[in-house]
Amino acid sequence: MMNTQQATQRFARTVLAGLAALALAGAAQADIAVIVHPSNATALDDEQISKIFLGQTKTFSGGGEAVPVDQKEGATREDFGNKVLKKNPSQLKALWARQIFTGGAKPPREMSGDDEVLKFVASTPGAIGYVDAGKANSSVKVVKR
Amino acid sequence: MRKNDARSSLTHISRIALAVGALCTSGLSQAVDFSYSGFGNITAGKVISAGGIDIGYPDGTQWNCPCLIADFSHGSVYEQKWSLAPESRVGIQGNWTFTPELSFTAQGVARHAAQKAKADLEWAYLSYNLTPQLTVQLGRKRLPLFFYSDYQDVSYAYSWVRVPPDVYGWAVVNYNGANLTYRGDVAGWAVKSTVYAGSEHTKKNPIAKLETASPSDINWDSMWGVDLEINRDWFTARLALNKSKQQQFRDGVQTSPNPANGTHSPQTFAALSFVIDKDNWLLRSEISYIDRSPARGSYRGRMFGAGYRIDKFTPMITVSQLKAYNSAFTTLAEKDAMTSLSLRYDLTDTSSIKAQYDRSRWDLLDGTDVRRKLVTVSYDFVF
Repeated sequence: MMNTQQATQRFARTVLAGLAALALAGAAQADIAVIVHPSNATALDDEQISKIFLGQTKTFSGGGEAVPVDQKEGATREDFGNKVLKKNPSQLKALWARQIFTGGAKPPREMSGDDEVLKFVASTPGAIGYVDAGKANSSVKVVKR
Repeated sequence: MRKNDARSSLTHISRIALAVGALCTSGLSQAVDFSYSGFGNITAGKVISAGGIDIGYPDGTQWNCPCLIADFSHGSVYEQKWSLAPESRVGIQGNWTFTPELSFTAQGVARHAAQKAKADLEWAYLSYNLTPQLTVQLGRKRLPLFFYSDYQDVSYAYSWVRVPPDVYGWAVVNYNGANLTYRGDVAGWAVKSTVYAGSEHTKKNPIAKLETASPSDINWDSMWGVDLEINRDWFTARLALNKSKQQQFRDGVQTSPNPANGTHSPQTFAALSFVIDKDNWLLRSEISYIDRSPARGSYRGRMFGAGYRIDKFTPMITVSQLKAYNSAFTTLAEKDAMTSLSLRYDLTDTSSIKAQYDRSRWDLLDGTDVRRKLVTVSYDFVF
């Protein structure tokens, strides 16, 4: 039978292992940077970014037309959905199904990855996209990290 | 004869939109960007229990009743044996983009409801963005009477197998005409508002087939409507109003309104809906008001559903009720209520499986009623 000391040690080991696993899981989730063209002076919060990416508005609060670009399905897109849009992939798909099949807004254009999004946003004044935070460079302006 | 005027469900406006769409497609084939998408569901259901009296509705000579009507508008009726026919359907939608501002959309839906294989053109419209906020559309669209009306065929987009039938069961589901939509950000709220006008002439209307096999044509003329939807984060509200003038013919003879009272009878549909989708909670509610007085009966409807998302599962309980009044809107004539337990499982990001149990009771308020229990399973997808 385990004595109290053994039990305490075992409990401590379990807790530590759990915390380590949590820390690893956190590190494995890449950070996202929301990016716009360097000339874009609009301040954007999560709510405004969501409205643009969900097709609820086509303009920045400053008035200029917004051209959102999405990424192909994958970890970056899911991360952006969860953290900024606060919706899981199924919820997003259901929202877009309603829009698409009722003649509402069209989903943002999909690009193949960070590099393509960076290139597009850097060269398009109204563009807004998101990339892995480590990939964002001086060709674009980061509005949210 | 009026009946012949309604020969096609497409009126001139739709034909013009189709013709323009076809012209643009052929003339600008190099410049046109075409995309397509679709949706569908394979749904099986069975009435597992029946009680109360036989009121002969739906028509016992066409269906082997006791039955439950799952979709009045399309004549979907379940009997006491498993069937895929009433609600399974597939839709495909094509979108032709000519310029960033001008596009044409057409959607066809095939189904086997009302005991007949049928492919309907649900949408065929030209869309033009006047400004980033304003879009004008011309052609054929689904009629947005209530919150789920214009996408009730896309069952992947909601958590039930179907929208509550008693509240959503009306004769006309499309209109031909024009609409103007505003979409934008107003003081932090995402606002979408549409005004529309048009008409719809239906031939061999499925809702009328529920009464008798003899075909009936139902027209909604001089129709106009307005809706307003606001959304912020987890909260959505929608207010909708629709007014039109109805007439019905059977074998070329006007059956509604009574010809002594004129060629058309006015009707007003109004609905207020709330959706709360916060964290894992999902609440859906809607109240509706249908005034068809003085020529015909009027109604009040309500629906409330609560669900809780547990990872890929969404169990939900929904209650709905439709109260039917006499033509003066003064005396309650019937109370139709349904309680539904539904479970959705997100199979993939583009498909789901659902199971639903419905308990329906039509209280005829004279000590008699009609009671049904229905089970349904469904596989829904979008592509």
